[in-house]
Amino acid sequence: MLSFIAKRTLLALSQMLVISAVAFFLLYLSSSGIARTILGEQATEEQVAAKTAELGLDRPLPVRYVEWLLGVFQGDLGRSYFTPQDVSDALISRLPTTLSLLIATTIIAALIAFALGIAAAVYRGWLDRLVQILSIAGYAIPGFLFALLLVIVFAINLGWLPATGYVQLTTDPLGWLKTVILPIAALSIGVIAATAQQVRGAVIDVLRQDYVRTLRSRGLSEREIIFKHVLRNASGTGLTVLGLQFVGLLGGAIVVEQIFALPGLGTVAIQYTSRGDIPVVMGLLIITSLIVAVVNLLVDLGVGFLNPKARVA
Amino acid sequence: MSEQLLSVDKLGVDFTRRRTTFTALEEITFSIAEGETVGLVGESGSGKTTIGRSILGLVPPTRGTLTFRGEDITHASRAKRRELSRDMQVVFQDPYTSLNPSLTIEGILAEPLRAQGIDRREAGRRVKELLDRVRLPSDAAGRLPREFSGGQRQRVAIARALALRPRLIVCDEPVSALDLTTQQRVLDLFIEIQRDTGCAYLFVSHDLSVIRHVSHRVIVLNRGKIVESGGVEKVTSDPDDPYTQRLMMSAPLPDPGAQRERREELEKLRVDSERAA
Repeated sequence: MLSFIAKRTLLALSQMLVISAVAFFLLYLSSSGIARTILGEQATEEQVAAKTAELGLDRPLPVRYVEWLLGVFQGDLGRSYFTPQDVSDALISRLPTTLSLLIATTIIAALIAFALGIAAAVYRGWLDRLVQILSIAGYAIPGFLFALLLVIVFAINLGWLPATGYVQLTTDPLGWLKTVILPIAALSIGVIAATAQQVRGAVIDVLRQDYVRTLRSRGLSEREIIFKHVLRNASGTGLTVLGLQFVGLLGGAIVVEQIFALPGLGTVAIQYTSRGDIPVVMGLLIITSLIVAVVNLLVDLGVGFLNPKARVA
Repeated sequence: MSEQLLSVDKLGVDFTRRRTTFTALEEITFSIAEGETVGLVGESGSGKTTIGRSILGLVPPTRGTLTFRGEDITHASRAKRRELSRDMQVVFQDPYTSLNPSLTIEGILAEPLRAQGIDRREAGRRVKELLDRVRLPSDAAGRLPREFSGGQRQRVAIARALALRPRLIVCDEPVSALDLTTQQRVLDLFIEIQRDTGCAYLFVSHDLSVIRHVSHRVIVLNRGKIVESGGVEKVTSDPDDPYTQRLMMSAPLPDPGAQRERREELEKLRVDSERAA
Protein backbone atom coordinates (compact mmCIF):
# COMPACT_ATOMS: atom_id res chain seq x y z
CA MET A 1 0.00 0.00 0.00
CA LEU A 2 2.83 2.39 0.88
CA SER A 3 4.60 1.80 -2.41
CA PHE A 4 1.28 2.41 -4.16
CA ILE A 5 0.94 5.79 -2.47
CA ALA A 6 4.58 6.65 -3.19
CA LYS A 7 4.22 5.77 -6.86
CA ARG A 8 1.03 7.76 -7.19
CA THR A 9 2.54 10.77 -5.46
CA LEU A 10 5.54 10.67 -7.76
CA LEU A 11 3.26 10.41 -10.76
CA ALA A 12 1.20 13.36 -9.55
CA LEU A 13 4.34 15.47 -9.02
CA SER A 14 5.63 14.76 -12.50
CA GLN A 15 2.22 15.61 -13.92
CA MET A 16 2.26 18.94 -12.11
CA LEU A 17 5.77 19.61 -13.40
CA VAL A 18 4.66 19.07 -17.00
CA ILE A 19 1.49 21.12 -16.58
CA SER A 20 3.35 24.02 -14.99
CA ALA A 21 6.08 23.99 -17.67
CA VAL A 22 3.63 23.95 -20.56
CA ALA A 23 1.51 26.69 -18.98
CA PHE A 24 4.53 28.83 -18.12
CA PHE A 25 5.96 28.76 -21.63
CA LEU A 26 2.60 29.23 -23.33
CA LEU A 27 1.62 32.17 -21.13
CA TYR A 28 4.91 34.04 -21.49
CA LEU A 29 5.34 33.31 -25.20
CA SER A 30 1.84 34.54 -25.99
CA SER A 31 2.01 37.79 -24.04
CA SER A 32 4.40 40.45 -25.27
CA GLY A 33 4.99 43.84 -23.76
CA ILE A 34 4.11 42.96 -20.20
CA ALA A 35 5.97 45.97 -18.81
CA ARG A 36 4.17 48.25 -21.26
CA THR A 37 0.80 46.88 -20.13
CA ILE A 38 1.67 47.46 -16.49
CA LEU A 39 2.99 51.02 -16.94
CA GLY A 40 0.38 52.19 -19.44
CA GLU A 41 0.60 53.99 -22.77
CA GLN A 42 2.19 57.16 -21.34
CA ALA A 43 5.36 55.49 -20.06
CA THR A 44 8.64 56.26 -21.83
CA GLU A 45 10.85 53.65 -23.48
CA GLU A 46 13.36 53.97 -20.61
CA GLN A 47 10.72 53.36 -17.99
CA VAL A 48 9.51 50.27 -19.87
CA ALA A 49 13.06 48.94 -20.17
CA ALA A 50 13.68 49.56 -16.47
CA LYS A 51 10.45 47.75 -15.52
CA THR A 52 11.33 44.83 -17.82
CA ALA A 53 14.69 44.49 -16.13
CA GLU A 54 13.11 44.84 -12.67
CA LEU A 55 10.69 41.97 -13.38
CA GLY A 56 13.53 39.93 -14.90
CA LEU A 57 11.67 39.64 -18.20
CA ASP A 58 14.83 40.33 -20.22
CA ARG A 59 16.38 37.04 -19.22
CA PRO A 60 15.86 33.75 -21.14
CA LEU A 61 12.55 31.96 -20.52
CA PRO A 62 13.98 28.56 -19.36
CA VAL A 63 16.04 30.31 -16.69
CA ARG A 64 12.97 32.17 -15.47
CA TYR A 65 11.00 28.90 -15.33
CA VAL A 66 13.63 27.14 -13.24
CA GLU A 67 13.79 30.13 -10.88
CA TRP A 68 10.02 30.16 -10.55
CA LEU A 69 9.97 26.41 -9.90
CA LEU A 70 12.62 26.67 -7.18
CA GLY A 71 10.50 29.39 -5.62
CA VAL A 72 7.43 27.17 -5.69
CA PHE A 73 9.24 24.45 -3.76
CA GLN A 74 9.99 27.04 -1.07
CA GLY A 75 6.37 28.19 -0.99
CA ASP A 76 7.09 31.39 -2.92
CA LEU A 77 4.80 31.84 -5.90
CA GLY A 78 6.18 35.22 -6.88
CA ARG A 79 4.61 38.64 -6.88
CA SER A 80 1.52 39.98 -8.63
CA TYR A 81 2.27 42.40 -11.49
CA PHE A 82 -0.54 44.78 -10.67
CA THR A 83 -1.00 44.73 -6.92
CA PRO A 84 1.76 44.95 -4.34
CA GLN A 85 0.90 41.50 -3.05
CA ASP A 86 2.58 38.13 -2.85
CA VAL A 87 0.73 35.61 -5.02
CA SER A 88 0.68 33.05 -2.22
CA ASP A 89 -0.94 35.56 0.16
CA ALA A 90 -3.54 36.52 -2.42
CA LEU A 91 -4.47 32.92 -3.10
CA ILE A 92 -4.18 31.34 0.31
CA SER A 93 -6.60 33.84 1.84
CA ARG A 94 -9.14 32.77 -0.80
CA LEU A 95 -8.49 29.04 -0.69
CA PRO A 96 -10.63 28.16 2.38
CA THR A 97 -13.76 29.64 0.79
CA THR A 98 -13.45 27.59 -2.39
CA LEU A 99 -12.29 24.43 -0.66
CA SER A 100 -15.06 24.49 1.93
CA LEU A 101 -17.56 25.03 -0.85
CA LEU A 102 -16.19 22.18 -2.97
CA ILE A 103 -15.81 19.70 -0.13
CA ALA A 104 -19.28 20.41 1.26
CA THR A 105 -20.75 20.08 -2.23
CA THR A 106 -18.98 16.79 -2.84
CA ILE A 107 -20.05 15.23 0.47
CA ILE A 108 -23.67 16.34 0.14
CA ALA A 109 -23.86 15.39 -3.53
CA ALA A 110 -22.28 11.99 -2.81
CA LEU A 111 -24.80 11.16 -0.08
CA ILE A 112 -27.77 12.19 -2.21
CA ALA A 113 -26.43 10.55 -5.38
CA PHE A 114 -25.69 7.20 -3.69
CA ALA A 115 -29.09 7.20 -1.97
CA LEU A 116 -30.91 7.97 -5.23
CA GLY A 117 -28.82 5.56 -7.31
CA ILE A 118 -29.27 2.67 -4.88
CA ALA A 119 -32.99 3.36 -4.45
CA ALA A 120 -33.51 3.49 -8.22
CA ALA A 121 -31.61 0.24 -8.75
CA VAL A 122 -33.33 -1.63 -5.93
CA TYR A 123 -36.92 -0.48 -6.37
CA ARG A 124 -36.89 0.11 -10.15
CA GLY A 125 -40.37 0.95 -11.50
CA TRP A 126 -41.62 4.54 -11.29
CA LEU A 127 -38.97 5.63 -8.80
CA ASP A 128 -36.24 4.50 -11.19
CA ARG A 129 -37.86 6.35 -14.08
CA LEU A 130 -38.22 9.50 -11.97
CA VAL A 131 -34.54 9.38 -10.96
CA GLN A 132 -33.57 8.85 -14.60
CA ILE A 133 -35.59 11.84 -15.79
CA LEU A 134 -34.29 14.08 -13.00
CA SER A 135 -30.74 12.94 -13.73
CA ILE A 136 -30.96 13.83 -17.38
CA ALA A 137 -32.55 17.18 -16.53
CA GLY A 138 -29.96 17.86 -13.84
CA TYR A 139 -27.15 17.01 -16.19
CA ALA A 140 -28.56 19.13 -19.01
CA ILE A 141 -29.21 22.29 -16.99
CA PRO A 142 -25.99 24.27 -16.55
CA GLY A 143 -25.01 25.07 -12.97
CA PHE A 144 -25.05 28.83 -13.44
CA LEU A 145 -28.60 28.80 -14.81
CA PHE A 146 -29.71 26.78 -11.86
CA ALA A 147 -27.84 29.20 -9.59
CA LEU A 148 -29.72 32.18 -11.04
CA LEU A 149 -33.02 30.32 -10.64
CA LEU A 150 -32.22 29.60 -6.98
CA VAL A 151 -31.36 33.24 -6.35
CA ILE A 152 -34.63 34.42 -7.90
CA VAL A 153 -36.78 31.96 -5.96
CA PHE A 154 -35.11 31.67 -2.56
CA ALA A 155 -33.30 34.99 -2.19
CA ILE A 156 -35.47 37.49 -4.05
CA ASN A 157 -39.03 36.10 -4.04
CA LEU A 158 -39.05 34.20 -0.76
CA GLY A 159 -36.24 36.14 0.92
CA TRP A 160 -35.16 33.12 2.98
CA LEU A 161 -31.47 33.28 2.19
CA PRO A 162 -29.04 36.01 1.21
CA ALA A 163 -28.43 36.34 -2.53
CA THR A 164 -24.79 37.30 -2.19
CA GLY A 165 -22.04 37.66 0.41
CA TYR A 166 -19.96 35.37 2.53
CA VAL A 167 -19.32 34.74 6.21
CA GLN A 168 -16.28 32.78 7.38
CA LEU A 169 -17.07 29.33 8.72
CA THR A 170 -14.84 29.98 11.71
CA THR A 171 -16.50 33.26 12.72
CA ASP A 172 -20.16 32.29 12.39
CA PRO A 173 -21.04 28.71 11.36
CA LEU A 174 -24.78 29.44 11.01
CA GLY A 175 -24.11 32.53 8.93
CA TRP A 176 -21.70 30.51 6.80
CA LEU A 177 -24.37 27.88 6.25
CA LYS A 178 -26.86 30.54 5.12
CA THR A 179 -24.46 31.97 2.59
CA VAL A 180 -23.36 28.64 1.12
CA ILE A 181 -26.66 26.73 0.89
CA LEU A 182 -27.57 28.19 -2.50
CA PRO A 183 -24.07 27.89 -4.05
CA ILE A 184 -23.82 24.28 -2.84
CA ALA A 185 -27.25 23.49 -4.25
CA ALA A 186 -26.31 25.02 -7.60
CA LEU A 187 -23.03 23.10 -7.77
CA SER A 188 -24.33 19.75 -6.53
CA ILE A 189 -27.09 19.31 -9.06
CA GLY A 190 -24.80 18.22 -11.91
CA VAL A 191 -22.67 16.05 -9.64
CA ILE A 192 -25.75 14.30 -8.23
CA ALA A 193 -27.15 13.75 -11.71
CA ALA A 194 -23.98 12.16 -13.09
CA THR A 195 -23.07 10.14 -10.01
CA ALA A 196 -26.59 8.80 -9.32
CA GLN A 197 -26.75 7.43 -12.86
CA GLN A 198 -23.43 5.60 -12.48
CA VAL A 199 -24.29 4.23 -9.04
CA ARG A 200 -27.66 3.03 -10.35
CA GLY A 201 -26.02 1.24 -13.27
CA ALA A 202 -23.34 -0.37 -11.13
CA VAL A 203 -25.81 -1.55 -8.49
CA ILE A 204 -28.09 -3.05 -11.15
CA ASP A 205 -25.11 -4.86 -12.66
CA VAL A 206 -24.08 -6.33 -9.32
CA LEU A 207 -27.65 -7.28 -8.39
CA ARG A 208 -27.81 -9.41 -11.54
CA GLN A 209 -24.79 -11.47 -10.51
CA ASP A 210 -25.31 -15.05 -9.43
CA TYR A 211 -23.61 -14.55 -6.08
CA VAL A 212 -26.36 -12.11 -5.14
CA ARG A 213 -28.92 -14.69 -6.27
CA THR A 214 -27.15 -17.23 -4.05
CA LEU A 215 -27.44 -14.88 -1.07
CA ARG A 216 -31.14 -14.33 -1.81
CA SER A 217 -31.75 -18.06 -1.93
CA ARG A 218 -30.34 -18.23 1.56
CA GLY A 219 -32.92 -15.77 2.84
CA LEU A 220 -30.62 -12.85 3.58
CA SER A 221 -32.49 -9.56 3.96
CA GLU A 222 -32.32 -7.07 1.14
CA ARG A 223 -30.59 -4.60 3.45
CA GLU A 224 -27.83 -7.06 4.30
CA ILE A 225 -27.36 -7.95 0.65
CA ILE A 226 -27.16 -4.32 -0.46
CA PHE A 227 -24.95 -2.95 2.28
CA LYS A 228 -22.68 -5.93 2.92
CA HIS A 229 -22.22 -7.39 -0.54
CA VAL A 230 -23.49 -5.18 -3.36
CA LEU A 231 -22.35 -1.73 -2.34
CA ARG A 232 -18.74 -2.74 -1.91
CA ASN A 233 -18.59 -3.92 -5.50
CA ALA A 234 -20.70 -1.13 -6.92
CA SER A 235 -19.31 1.95 -5.16
CA GLY A 236 -15.98 1.98 -7.00
CA THR A 237 -17.71 3.31 -10.09
CA GLY A 238 -19.56 5.98 -8.12
CA LEU A 239 -16.38 7.06 -6.39
CA THR A 240 -14.47 7.38 -9.66
CA VAL A 241 -17.21 9.51 -11.22
CA LEU A 242 -17.33 11.61 -8.07
CA GLY A 243 -13.60 12.27 -8.39
CA LEU A 244 -14.01 13.39 -11.99
CA GLN A 245 -16.97 15.55 -11.02
CA PHE A 246 -14.90 17.20 -8.29
CA VAL A 247 -12.39 18.27 -10.89
CA GLY A 248 -15.23 19.65 -12.99
CA LEU A 249 -16.48 21.50 -9.91
CA LEU A 250 -13.32 23.59 -9.85
CA GLY A 251 -14.48 25.08 -13.13
CA GLY A 252 -18.10 25.35 -11.99
CA ALA A 253 -17.02 27.14 -8.83
CA ILE A 254 -15.59 30.02 -10.87
CA VAL A 255 -18.99 30.89 -12.28
CA VAL A 256 -20.99 30.14 -9.16
CA GLU A 257 -18.65 32.16 -6.93
CA GLN A 258 -19.10 35.04 -9.31
CA ILE A 259 -22.91 34.83 -9.16
CA PHE A 260 -23.06 34.66 -5.35
CA ALA A 261 -20.13 37.08 -4.92
CA LEU A 262 -18.12 34.64 -2.85
CA PRO A 263 -14.50 35.68 -2.28
CA GLY A 264 -12.98 32.44 -3.50
CA LEU A 265 -10.38 31.34 -6.01
CA GLY A 266 -12.90 31.63 -8.83
CA THR A 267 -13.31 35.35 -8.35
CA VAL A 268 -9.52 35.74 -8.25
CA ALA A 269 -9.22 33.72 -11.43
CA ILE A 270 -11.59 35.97 -13.34
CA GLN A 271 -10.08 39.20 -11.98
CA TYR A 272 -6.45 38.39 -12.62
CA THR A 273 -6.68 36.37 -15.78
CA SER A 274 -8.44 39.14 -17.66
CA ARG A 275 -5.71 41.55 -16.58
CA GLY A 276 -2.94 39.20 -17.71
CA ASP A 277 -1.35 38.87 -14.30
CA ILE A 278 0.76 35.82 -15.15
CA PRO A 279 2.29 35.11 -11.70
CA VAL A 280 -1.18 34.91 -10.15
CA VAL A 281 -2.48 32.72 -12.98
CA MET A 282 0.48 30.37 -12.55
CA GLY A 283 -0.17 30.26 -8.81
CA LEU A 284 -3.81 29.37 -9.42
CA LEU A 285 -2.74 26.66 -11.79
CA ILE A 286 -0.36 25.08 -9.30
CA ILE A 287 -2.91 25.16 -6.49
CA THR A 288 -5.75 23.71 -8.58
CA SER A 289 -3.57 20.98 -10.06
CA LEU A 290 -2.42 20.13 -6.54
CA ILE A 291 -6.06 19.84 -5.44
CA VAL A 292 -6.83 17.62 -8.44
CA ALA A 293 -3.80 15.40 -7.74
CA VAL A 294 -4.78 14.98 -4.08
CA VAL A 295 -8.39 14.16 -4.98
CA ASN A 296 -7.29 11.59 -7.57
CA LEU A 297 -4.99 9.95 -5.06
CA LEU A 298 -7.79 9.79 -2.50
CA VAL A 299 -10.18 8.28 -5.06
CA ASP A 300 -7.64 5.63 -6.06
CA LEU A 301 -7.03 4.74 -2.44
CA GLY A 302 -10.76 4.64 -1.75
CA VAL A 303 -11.47 2.38 -4.71
CA GLY A 304 -8.59 0.10 -3.73
CA PHE A 305 -9.86 -0.07 -0.16
CA LEU A 306 -13.37 -1.00 -1.30
CA ASN A 307 -12.34 -3.41 -3.96
CA PRO A 308 -9.14 -5.44 -3.80
CA LYS A 309 -9.59 -6.25 -7.47
CA ALA A 310 -8.60 -2.70 -8.34
CA ARG A 311 -5.55 -2.68 -6.06
CA VAL A 312 -2.80 -2.31 -8.60
CA ALA A 313 0.77 -1.57 -7.70
CA MET B 1 -33.40 -43.72 -1.56
CA SER B 2 -35.88 -43.98 1.23
CA GLU B 3 -38.20 -41.10 2.11
CA GLN B 4 -38.99 -38.13 -0.14
CA LEU B 5 -36.77 -35.12 0.47
CA LEU B 6 -38.54 -32.72 -1.81
CA SER B 7 -41.97 -33.02 -3.39
CA VAL B 8 -43.12 -30.68 -6.11
CA ASP B 9 -46.89 -30.90 -6.61
CA LYS B 10 -48.66 -29.34 -9.60
CA LEU B 11 -46.25 -26.40 -9.60
CA GLY B 12 -47.17 -23.59 -11.95
CA VAL B 13 -45.39 -20.28 -12.54
CA ASP B 14 -46.73 -17.33 -14.48
CA PHE B 15 -44.74 -14.28 -15.43
CA THR B 16 -46.82 -11.14 -15.82
CA ARG B 17 -45.49 -8.17 -17.64
CA ARG B 18 -47.69 -5.24 -18.59
CA ARG B 19 -50.97 -7.14 -18.58
CA THR B 20 -49.70 -10.05 -20.68
CA THR B 21 -49.24 -13.31 -18.82
CA PHE B 22 -46.76 -15.92 -19.87
CA THR B 23 -47.07 -19.36 -18.37
CA ALA B 24 -43.55 -20.59 -17.75
CA LEU B 25 -44.45 -23.76 -15.87
CA GLU B 26 -47.59 -25.86 -15.71
CA GLU B 27 -48.58 -28.91 -13.67
CA ILE B 28 -45.05 -29.82 -12.68
CA THR B 29 -45.10 -32.78 -10.33
CA PHE B 30 -42.08 -34.77 -9.24
CA SER B 31 -40.10 -35.65 -6.15
CA ILE B 32 -36.53 -36.17 -5.09
CA ALA B 33 -35.52 -38.81 -2.52
CA GLU B 34 -32.64 -38.53 -0.05
CA GLY B 35 -29.32 -39.06 -1.79
CA GLU B 36 -30.86 -39.14 -5.24
CA THR B 37 -29.94 -37.15 -8.35
CA VAL B 38 -32.79 -36.01 -10.54
CA GLY B 39 -31.74 -34.66 -13.90
CA LEU B 40 -33.87 -31.92 -15.42
CA VAL B 41 -33.35 -31.66 -19.14
CA GLY B 42 -34.89 -29.55 -21.88
CA GLU B 43 -34.03 -26.93 -24.43
CA SER B 44 -33.58 -23.23 -23.70
CA GLY B 45 -36.76 -21.63 -22.43
CA SER B 46 -38.33 -24.95 -21.44
CA GLY B 47 -38.59 -23.78 -17.83
CA LYS B 48 -35.93 -25.95 -16.23
CA THR B 49 -34.13 -23.04 -14.59
CA THR B 50 -37.45 -21.64 -13.36
CA ILE B 51 -38.17 -24.90 -11.51
CA GLY B 52 -34.82 -24.64 -9.74
CA ARG B 53 -35.41 -21.01 -8.88
CA SER B 54 -38.88 -21.52 -7.48
CA ILE B 55 -37.56 -24.30 -5.24
CA LEU B 56 -34.93 -21.85 -4.00
CA GLY B 57 -37.56 -19.17 -3.42
CA LEU B 58 -36.16 -16.85 -6.09
CA VAL B 59 -39.30 -17.06 -8.22
CA PRO B 60 -42.68 -17.13 -6.45
CA PRO B 61 -44.86 -20.09 -7.50
CA THR B 62 -48.25 -19.12 -8.89
CA ARG B 63 -49.90 -22.49 -8.30
CA GLY B 64 -49.10 -25.77 -6.62
CA THR B 65 -47.09 -26.67 -3.54
CA LEU B 66 -43.50 -27.41 -2.64
CA THR B 67 -42.81 -29.71 0.27
CA PHE B 68 -39.34 -30.07 1.73
CA ARG B 69 -38.77 -32.67 4.46
CA GLY B 70 -42.50 -32.81 5.13
CA GLU B 71 -42.83 -29.05 5.45
CA ASP B 72 -44.72 -26.74 3.09
CA ILE B 73 -42.19 -24.24 1.73
CA THR B 74 -44.25 -22.86 -1.16
CA HIS B 75 -44.36 -19.36 0.30
CA ALA B 76 -41.57 -19.56 2.85
CA SER B 77 -40.66 -16.28 4.56
CA ARG B 78 -37.16 -14.82 4.57
CA ALA B 79 -36.51 -16.13 8.07
CA LYS B 80 -37.74 -19.56 6.99
CA ARG B 81 -35.47 -19.41 3.91
CA ARG B 82 -32.55 -18.63 6.14
CA GLU B 83 -33.34 -21.71 8.17
CA LEU B 84 -33.90 -23.77 5.01
CA SER B 85 -30.56 -22.73 3.58
CA ARG B 86 -28.91 -25.10 6.05
CA ASP B 87 -30.46 -27.97 4.12
CA MET B 88 -30.80 -26.55 0.63
CA GLN B 89 -28.06 -24.89 -1.41
CA VAL B 90 -27.36 -23.84 -4.96
CA VAL B 91 -24.59 -23.94 -7.57
CA PHE B 92 -25.11 -21.62 -10.54
CA GLN B 93 -23.93 -21.83 -14.10
CA ASP B 94 -21.48 -18.99 -14.48
CA PRO B 95 -18.46 -19.35 -12.20
CA TYR B 96 -17.41 -15.81 -13.11
CA THR B 97 -20.45 -14.08 -11.61
CA SER B 98 -21.26 -16.51 -8.84
CA LEU B 99 -18.41 -15.44 -6.55
CA ASN B 100 -18.22 -12.01 -4.92
CA PRO B 101 -15.11 -10.51 -6.58
CA SER B 102 -14.09 -8.43 -3.57
CA LEU B 103 -14.00 -11.26 -1.05
CA THR B 104 -11.19 -13.77 -0.64
CA ILE B 105 -12.01 -17.46 -1.08
CA GLU B 106 -12.00 -17.82 2.68
CA GLY B 107 -14.48 -14.92 2.97
CA ILE B 108 -16.74 -16.49 0.36
CA LEU B 109 -16.73 -19.90 2.03
CA ALA B 110 -17.06 -18.55 5.56
CA GLU B 111 -19.98 -16.25 4.71
CA PRO B 112 -22.77 -18.86 4.84
CA LEU B 113 -21.24 -20.30 8.03
CA ARG B 114 -21.03 -16.92 9.75
CA ALA B 115 -24.58 -16.07 8.63
CA GLN B 116 -25.74 -19.14 10.56
CA GLY B 117 -23.92 -17.89 13.64
CA ILE B 118 -20.88 -20.16 13.55
CA ASP B 119 -17.88 -18.51 15.25
CA ARG B 120 -14.81 -17.35 13.37
CA ARG B 121 -12.41 -20.08 14.53
CA GLU B 122 -14.79 -22.89 13.75
CA ALA B 123 -15.58 -21.32 10.36
CA GLY B 124 -11.89 -21.08 9.51
CA ARG B 125 -11.41 -24.74 10.32
CA ARG B 126 -14.41 -25.70 8.20
CA VAL B 127 -13.10 -23.63 5.26
CA LYS B 128 -9.88 -25.70 5.19
CA GLU B 129 -11.94 -28.87 5.27
CA LEU B 130 -14.11 -27.62 2.37
CA LEU B 131 -11.14 -26.66 0.20
CA ASP B 132 -9.73 -30.11 0.76
CA ARG B 133 -13.11 -31.63 -0.06
CA VAL B 134 -13.20 -29.96 -3.50
CA ARG B 135 -9.49 -30.63 -4.13
CA LEU B 136 -8.26 -27.05 -3.95
CA PRO B 137 -4.93 -26.30 -2.22
CA SER B 138 -5.37 -24.85 1.27
CA ASP B 139 -3.39 -21.74 0.35
CA ALA B 140 -6.32 -20.86 -1.94
CA ALA B 141 -8.10 -19.42 1.12
CA GLY B 142 -6.30 -16.09 1.05
CA ARG B 143 -6.64 -15.50 -2.69
CA LEU B 144 -9.28 -13.67 -4.72
CA PRO B 145 -11.70 -15.27 -7.22
CA ARG B 146 -10.00 -13.61 -10.19
CA GLU B 147 -6.88 -15.67 -9.53
CA PHE B 148 -8.72 -18.89 -10.39
CA SER B 149 -9.78 -20.57 -13.60
CA GLY B 150 -13.42 -21.34 -14.42
CA GLY B 151 -13.16 -24.92 -13.19
CA GLN B 152 -11.48 -23.89 -9.97
CA ARG B 153 -14.08 -21.19 -9.37
CA GLN B 154 -16.83 -23.72 -9.84
CA ARG B 155 -15.11 -25.86 -7.20
CA VAL B 156 -15.23 -22.86 -4.87
CA ALA B 157 -18.94 -22.46 -5.63
CA ILE B 158 -19.47 -26.15 -4.87
CA ALA B 159 -17.49 -25.83 -1.64
CA ARG B 160 -19.68 -22.88 -0.65
CA ALA B 161 -22.80 -24.94 -1.34
CA LEU B 162 -21.38 -27.74 0.83
CA ALA B 163 -20.42 -25.46 3.71
CA LEU B 164 -23.58 -26.08 5.71
CA ARG B 165 -23.81 -29.80 4.90
CA PRO B 166 -27.07 -29.49 2.94
CA ARG B 167 -29.44 -32.35 2.06
CA LEU B 168 -30.26 -30.93 -1.37
CA ILE B 169 -28.19 -28.93 -3.85
CA VAL B 170 -29.89 -27.30 -6.80
CA CYS B 171 -27.33 -27.30 -9.62
CA ASP B 172 -28.33 -24.93 -12.39
CA GLU B 173 -26.19 -25.85 -15.42
CA PRO B 174 -23.13 -26.14 -13.17
CA VAL B 175 -20.77 -27.37 -15.88
CA SER B 176 -22.09 -25.66 -19.03
CA ALA B 177 -19.56 -22.84 -18.81
CA LEU B 178 -16.61 -25.22 -18.54
CA ASP B 179 -14.59 -27.00 -21.21
CA LEU B 180 -15.05 -30.74 -21.70
CA THR B 181 -12.19 -32.14 -19.64
CA THR B 182 -12.95 -29.75 -16.78
CA GLN B 183 -16.62 -30.71 -17.03
CA GLN B 184 -15.71 -34.35 -16.56
CA ARG B 185 -13.66 -33.63 -13.46
CA VAL B 186 -16.29 -31.39 -11.89
CA LEU B 187 -19.02 -33.96 -12.59
CA ASP B 188 -16.91 -36.68 -10.95
CA LEU B 189 -16.50 -34.38 -7.97
CA PHE B 190 -20.30 -34.04 -7.73
CA ILE B 191 -20.69 -37.81 -7.79
CA GLU B 192 -17.95 -38.34 -5.22
CA ILE B 193 -19.47 -35.77 -2.86
CA GLN B 194 -22.83 -37.47 -3.14
CA ARG B 195 -21.31 -40.84 -2.34
CA ASP B 196 -19.59 -39.41 0.76
CA THR B 197 -22.27 -37.10 2.12
CA GLY B 198 -25.48 -38.60 0.78
CA CYS B 199 -26.88 -35.30 -0.42
CA ALA B 200 -29.44 -35.13 -3.20
CA TYR B 201 -29.10 -33.11 -6.40
CA LEU B 202 -31.59 -31.45 -8.66
CA PHE B 203 -29.38 -31.27 -11.69
CA VAL B 204 -30.50 -28.84 -14.38
CA SER B 205 -28.80 -29.13 -17.75
CA HIS B 206 -29.46 -28.92 -21.45
CA ASP B 207 -26.68 -31.40 -22.09
CA LEU B 208 -27.84 -35.02 -22.23
CA SER B 209 -24.45 -36.59 -21.79
CA VAL B 210 -24.02 -34.59 -18.57
CA ILE B 211 -27.44 -35.67 -17.33
CA ARG B 212 -26.72 -39.28 -18.22
CA HIS B 213 -23.45 -39.14 -16.32
CA VAL B 214 -24.80 -37.95 -12.99
CA SER B 215 -28.54 -38.69 -12.74
CA HIS B 216 -30.51 -41.57 -11.32
CA ARG B 217 -33.77 -40.34 -12.74
CA VAL B 218 -34.47 -37.91 -15.58
CA ILE B 219 -37.30 -35.46 -16.18
CA VAL B 220 -37.71 -34.09 -19.69
CA LEU B 221 -39.25 -30.66 -19.96
CA ASN B 222 -40.76 -28.97 -23.01
CA ARG B 223 -42.49 -25.58 -22.98
CA GLY B 224 -43.07 -25.62 -19.25
CA LYS B 225 -44.53 -29.13 -19.07
CA ILE B 226 -43.08 -32.49 -18.16
CA VAL B 227 -43.19 -34.67 -21.28
CA GLU B 228 -41.43 -37.70 -19.91
CA SER B 229 -39.78 -38.94 -16.74
CA GLY B 230 -38.23 -42.12 -15.50
CA GLY B 231 -35.00 -43.98 -14.87
CA VAL B 232 -31.95 -42.61 -16.62
CA GLU B 233 -31.42 -45.75 -18.74
CA LYS B 234 -34.98 -45.89 -20.00
CA VAL B 235 -35.33 -42.20 -20.85
CA THR B 236 -31.96 -41.75 -22.48
CA SER B 237 -31.83 -44.97 -24.51
CA ASP B 238 -35.46 -45.80 -25.25
CA PRO B 239 -37.64 -42.70 -24.84
CA ASP B 240 -41.41 -42.93 -25.38
CA ASP B 241 -42.18 -39.30 -26.08
CA PRO B 242 -41.44 -37.94 -29.59
CA TYR B 243 -40.00 -34.71 -28.15
CA THR B 244 -37.57 -36.70 -26.01
CA GLN B 245 -36.66 -38.80 -29.02
CA ARG B 246 -35.85 -35.68 -31.00
CA LEU B 247 -33.91 -34.22 -28.08
CA MET B 248 -31.81 -37.38 -27.80
CA MET B 249 -31.20 -37.36 -31.55
CA SER B 250 -30.07 -33.77 -31.58
CA ALA B 251 -26.92 -34.55 -29.59
CA PRO B 252 -24.21 -34.90 -32.27
CA LEU B 253 -22.11 -38.06 -32.62
CA PRO B 254 -18.34 -37.99 -33.21
CA ASP B 255 -18.55 -40.51 -36.12
CA PRO B 256 -19.58 -38.67 -39.34
CA GLY B 257 -21.28 -41.74 -40.83
CA ALA B 258 -23.33 -42.39 -37.73
CA GLN B 259 -24.11 -38.70 -37.48
CA ARG B 260 -25.42 -38.66 -41.08
CA GLU B 261 -27.76 -41.56 -40.32
CA ARG B 262 -28.89 -39.87 -37.14
CA ARG B 263 -29.61 -36.65 -39.00
CA GLU B 264 -31.80 -38.49 -41.50
CA GLU B 265 -33.63 -40.27 -38.71
CA LEU B 266 -34.16 -36.95 -36.94
CA GLU B 267 -35.55 -35.42 -40.11
CA LYS B 268 -38.01 -38.31 -40.44
CA LEU B 269 -39.13 -37.83 -36.82
CA ARG B 270 -39.68 -34.15 -37.45
CA VAL B 271 -41.82 -34.80 -40.53
CA ASP B 272 -43.84 -37.43 -38.65
CA SER B 273 -44.52 -35.16 -35.71
CA GLU B 274 -45.56 -32.33 -38.03
CA ARG B 275 -47.95 -34.65 -39.81
CA ALA B 276 -49.37 -35.76 -36.48
CA ALA B 277 -49.89 -32.16 -35.44
